[in-house]
Amino acid sequence: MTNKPPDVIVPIVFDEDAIGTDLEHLSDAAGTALDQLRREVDRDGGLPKSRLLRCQPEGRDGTRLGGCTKTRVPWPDGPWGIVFRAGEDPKRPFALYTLAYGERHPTRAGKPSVYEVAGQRLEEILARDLRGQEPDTPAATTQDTPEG
Amino acid sequence: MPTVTTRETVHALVDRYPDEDMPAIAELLSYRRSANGTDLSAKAILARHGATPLSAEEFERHFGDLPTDDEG
Repeated sequence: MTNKPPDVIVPIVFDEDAIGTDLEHLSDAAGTALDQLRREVDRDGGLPKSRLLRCQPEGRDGTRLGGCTKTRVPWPDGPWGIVFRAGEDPKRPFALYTLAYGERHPTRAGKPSVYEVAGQRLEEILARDLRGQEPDTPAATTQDTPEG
Repeated sequence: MPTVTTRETVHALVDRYPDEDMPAIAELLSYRRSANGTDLSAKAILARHGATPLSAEEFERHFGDLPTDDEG
């Protein structure tokens, strides 16, 4: 007889703004699967550590998700996934915060995977890459009124 | 010389794309900011909940033993 140590429960915090936006791009089935997961998290006070995987600082798909963990929905090999960002929580030592929910392997061409969405949210891509650039063809009406 | 603001630059960049690419571009942009303007960056998500990123050392201590796979 083996005494398997009890699974550690990791606190999960759902960010409704991020999750709500992601669900707009997903099927009803994805929403149902997420609802089931949320019921389990509510019931257990978090997610068992055995259902977590570590994200790659430099993934083969080009994403850079160092400092993140993930789970598959439904566990263990569902088509959707959640990427979490680990953070120091005001109420406890740490928690995992939902960074993105989406398809692990999108079937529609051009649709980003959950890992790509998470990567976009980790990086300050838009602000950094476009700052100071000027278009080759300026907008139709260019005025001397810089925005605030 | 007219000032070209960053917002105008972005508009001009988007205008370079054909109409058929607009849905995908709108979707891409929506992942960073919701329809009501809420910031969806990782930094903002943590801040909304009063949290700060776990240090690399703390992350390793709590999650360094987790398995990885070949995606993400």
